[in-house]
Amino acid sequence: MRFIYTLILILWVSTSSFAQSYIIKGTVSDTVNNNPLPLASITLLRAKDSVLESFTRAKSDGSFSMKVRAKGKYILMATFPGMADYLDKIEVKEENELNLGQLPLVSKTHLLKEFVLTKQYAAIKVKGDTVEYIADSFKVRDNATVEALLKKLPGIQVSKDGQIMAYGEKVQKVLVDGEEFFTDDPAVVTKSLQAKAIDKVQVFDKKSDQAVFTGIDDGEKTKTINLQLKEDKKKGYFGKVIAGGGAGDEQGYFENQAMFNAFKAKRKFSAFGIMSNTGKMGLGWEDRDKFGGGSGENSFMDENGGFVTYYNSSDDNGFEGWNGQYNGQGYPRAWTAGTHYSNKWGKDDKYHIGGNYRYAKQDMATTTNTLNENFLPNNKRQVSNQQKENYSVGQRHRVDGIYEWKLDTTSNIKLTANAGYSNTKTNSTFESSTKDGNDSMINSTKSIVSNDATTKSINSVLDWRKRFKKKGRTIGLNISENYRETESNGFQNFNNKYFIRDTASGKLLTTTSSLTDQKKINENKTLSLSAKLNYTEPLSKVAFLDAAYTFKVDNTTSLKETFNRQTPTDNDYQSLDSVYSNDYMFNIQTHTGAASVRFMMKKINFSVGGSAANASFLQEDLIRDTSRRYNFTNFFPKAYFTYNFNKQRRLRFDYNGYTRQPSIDQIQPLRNNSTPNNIAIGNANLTQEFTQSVGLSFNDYKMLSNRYIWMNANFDFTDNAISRSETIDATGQRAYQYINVDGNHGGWGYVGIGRKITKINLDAGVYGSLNIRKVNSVINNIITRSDNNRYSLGMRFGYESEGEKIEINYNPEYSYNDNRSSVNTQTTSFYTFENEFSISFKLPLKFEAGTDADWFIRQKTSVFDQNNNVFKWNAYVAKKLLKNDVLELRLSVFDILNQNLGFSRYAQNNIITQDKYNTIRRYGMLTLTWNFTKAAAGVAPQNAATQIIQMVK
Amino acid sequence: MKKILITIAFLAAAFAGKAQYTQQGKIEFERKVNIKRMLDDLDDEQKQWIDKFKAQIPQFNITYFDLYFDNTKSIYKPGREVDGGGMKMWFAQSPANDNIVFTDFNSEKVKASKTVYEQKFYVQDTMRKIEWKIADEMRTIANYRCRKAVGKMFDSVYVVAYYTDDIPAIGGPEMFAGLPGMILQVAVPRLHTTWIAQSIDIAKPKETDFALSEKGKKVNNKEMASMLKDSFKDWGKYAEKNLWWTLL
Repeated sequence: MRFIYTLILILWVSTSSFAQSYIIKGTVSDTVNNNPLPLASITLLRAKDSVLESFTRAKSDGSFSMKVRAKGKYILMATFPGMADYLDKIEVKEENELNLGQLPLVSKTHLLKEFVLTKQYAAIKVKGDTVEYIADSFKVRDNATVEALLKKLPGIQVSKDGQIMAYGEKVQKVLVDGEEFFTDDPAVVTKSLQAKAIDKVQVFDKKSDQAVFTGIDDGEKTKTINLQLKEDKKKGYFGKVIAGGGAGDEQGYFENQAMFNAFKAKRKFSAFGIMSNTGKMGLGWEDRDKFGGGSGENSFMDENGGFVTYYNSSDDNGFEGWNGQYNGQGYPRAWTAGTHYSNKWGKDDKYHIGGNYRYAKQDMATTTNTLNENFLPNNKRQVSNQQKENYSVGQRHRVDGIYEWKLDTTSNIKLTANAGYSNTKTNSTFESSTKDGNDSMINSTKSIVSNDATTKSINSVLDWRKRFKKKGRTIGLNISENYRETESNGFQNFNNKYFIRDTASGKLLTTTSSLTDQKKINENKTLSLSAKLNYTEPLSKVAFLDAAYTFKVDNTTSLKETFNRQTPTDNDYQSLDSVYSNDYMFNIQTHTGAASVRFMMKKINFSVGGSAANASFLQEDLIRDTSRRYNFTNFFPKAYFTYNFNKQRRLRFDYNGYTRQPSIDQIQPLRNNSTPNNIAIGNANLTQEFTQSVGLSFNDYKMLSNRYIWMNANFDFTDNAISRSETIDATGQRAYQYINVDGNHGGWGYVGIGRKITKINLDAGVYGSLNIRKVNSVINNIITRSDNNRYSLGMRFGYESEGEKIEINYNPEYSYNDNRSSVNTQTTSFYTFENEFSISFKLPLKFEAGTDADWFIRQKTSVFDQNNNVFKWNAYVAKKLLKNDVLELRLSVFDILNQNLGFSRYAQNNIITQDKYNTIRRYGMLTLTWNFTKAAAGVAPQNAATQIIQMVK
Repeated sequence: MKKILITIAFLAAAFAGKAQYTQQGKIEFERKVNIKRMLDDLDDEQKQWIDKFKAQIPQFNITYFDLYFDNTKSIYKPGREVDGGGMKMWFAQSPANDNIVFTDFNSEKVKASKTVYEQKFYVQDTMRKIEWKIADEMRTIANYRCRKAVGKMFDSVYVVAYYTDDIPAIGGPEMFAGLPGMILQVAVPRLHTTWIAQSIDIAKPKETDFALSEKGKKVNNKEMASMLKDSFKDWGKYAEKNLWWTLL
């Protein structure tokens, strides 16, 4: 840029000073050809700070006139295409009109001849070359700026006013990670750039945007520096230690935890240990993130750009889920420990490796009382009452590992593997009795069952994915292996009594009894191998075809051996009971083909397709040397449709159909006496059932008013449903067979609406739901229709004061259960009403206090006639101590009124079941928590002597 | 659509005529948001969670806007769609994605249709007054020679603009205007966002191109700001940025 500076001295001074504004006049013309320059731009800047004061355009004769608000010194700029810029310093003085006369503009060709050429650099252009500096190789002070770093780089100079020169050329653009960086906003500059944050400095000639866009090199280049930031320069550790002890009515309580996480860039190590008898079994989800290494966690971005994180808590994965997360049943004691290591390295985290080890030991003592009300035809019913004492001890080890390798930007390979070992020993005693509708005893059982089961498993998955150049075309291959081996041996001792009564009078005629005293050994091994290939082809910009093929083989061997005592004193149980012993081999081969077409438009997405699976079963009886074959083809049609009204309002419709084949056990059951009052009968005529379900959901969220509406509804119906036909005799013994029935259907719906009332910081919502299910079955040769319906209505209130000093939540929910059976005129309907309330305060002196209460009201019925209402009330007070609140002392009381009760009541077909468990009740506890953290920024620069300049082509 | 290449200057200026000024046309702006750096500005809690997805998030979100103009008015509105409908992630859904801004240079009035989440606004106000500092720095954008200007809006947010004297219309993308010529690049460093003119088509825009729907809540900029401030108050660090986005 060449500017001509001409200084015109204004000599003429006016004395008039009444005018509010001043006028500057002049004419712009081409001096060589003496042509006027219409529309030439005339811009006036304040001389002291270059602030734009005024601007105008020249008229057709080249003349202009502009107003100025104040007198003073100005810079006048006149420009015209093809002409060199005219710059002039002027001063507006007392006179209210300043005539600048003719402003001569010079065409660039003339200028080039006269001045500009001399200033051209004889630069040697090396097309496409980049010079790259590794920042850490150049030692700078801690907290040094980028400028200080640049000064150290050979070939680069930084002048006093901050101008950067690279190899003698002015650097015109500074980019940070590819984004142009403007130093004009001081807030951004001070925050962003410290020398330590820089990974690489790249110097190159940037082609003009035009050249990049058109692909035609117009030769225009800009010297550019790109500062590549370090991905993560953090290093440090954090963790916490919690020690808690207390006393309760039944026993003493403890809850101790220690957790630690150390990280350096992308390398992470963590370990934790928990021991408690308060029901804390493992890491909560928050701690799992920090200390569990994200075991069993999956995070990905879905096709709509939503972030999804989910946890696998399947038997083999989520450790906390093992043997049931503490669900309020019984008294638990748990010891859990785990450790995690992971690292990522290479460009864009090309390699990722990680591993976990977990150990857990868990004891559980549970006392359960179960009441069963069973409706029978002719208004008969049977009610059984069972008391169960159960004690179990379990131990488990698990290791898992992951290796991920990004082959290039379009494909990656992921290998995951895990192995587990677990052992569970259980001892149970049962006592149960069944009464008929006249309250007369019809059977009773006393039993002792023990079992020692060991499970070993090894699973591995290899996953390969590739994206093609064509947008939307992908291919993937997934190969998985699952092996599981379970061995168990145990004893079962049943003492059953049956009371045979006169049908008319109910008078006891005779009593029969049976005794079972057996040893059981089971061995089950399953190896499954599967391979799945999937492919997506874009049919157009909005349509995609998804196709997949899966082949799966399952091989299972199942040995069940039952032994009786040879003599009453034979404690080795040497006599094999051939009726209840068997040895089978199963082989299942499944081929599945799937295809669907997906349309992704701005407002509408929909997909139609489905899959078909052929499964062939081979069942070999290894003792009798016979075999059976079954073959089923199952269909799974599928469709969905979504309409996005806008970004926050969406409607979705789903259709799913699936056939389900009967299990081999339903066709040909194995003799089993582990539940002595239930006898299974096979049905060789059983066929597949076909279920179709439709779903509709609508949600609307208003970001500004925080108002939401959610609606969901689902309805399903099953043809040829696999249901049961039961024959229950007068002594309560049941023989059952699976049969096909029609007319089964069910559905559920949910509506929720809520909003935030910002002015009073209140969050309020109301919701309702309904569940209906109709099931047909056969009871004592009579077709029975059971209706189990449930309706709920609930509300939610949340209040948070300014500064979160007070938090209050209240959530009442009322439910009505309506259960009917066509064989019985009695309906068993009952309501439950739950109220959850909590309040917490932040108090002065870093004190905090809170209390919460759960009030359960459960209606009695004629059978369930005990009071099951519970008011569970907890409270705590805590104080934070030391600098940064690293220490917290907390006193808490659980179940102040000592009313807690494990409870569930549910209805299925014509049976209503109520379970009551013993559970943790009132205790007080004192807990000390110590949070520690240390984060250090940056790695010290390496040896200053090694100055590496890397030339990158 | 082919942009015209204005051959600047190496001809002798014998015919210094109107042909060398661009007095009407359509400018295509590319808006480039550095998403990764934007996410760095989130609250620590959110950041920890988002870090898990970072490998999947592209560095930039690029969208296109068109600016139709003549010497008296301009209208800025969403332009061509990027293949696949662009980025759908929630954080790429800035409130300014559907902005349509009409500026009348003579009366110095702006009218805009802005959709802020579920609320549609019809904004009427005077052209934003920014105190621009003109810098001694030139750069060529879409073959136009541009001069740098730096200003501040909302008291503290710096704006870097490049304008050209060769287009006398005093407009620009969004509500950025008021420099001696057309603004062909705007950067708002704190929003990690840049608008750069890609191409200029000098065909005369149709009158219908300047049509603006008057639907929505009628407000001026100040009223809109105070309404939204209340709604955004629980949004943490993101609230302020969101407000700037809305008021651009």
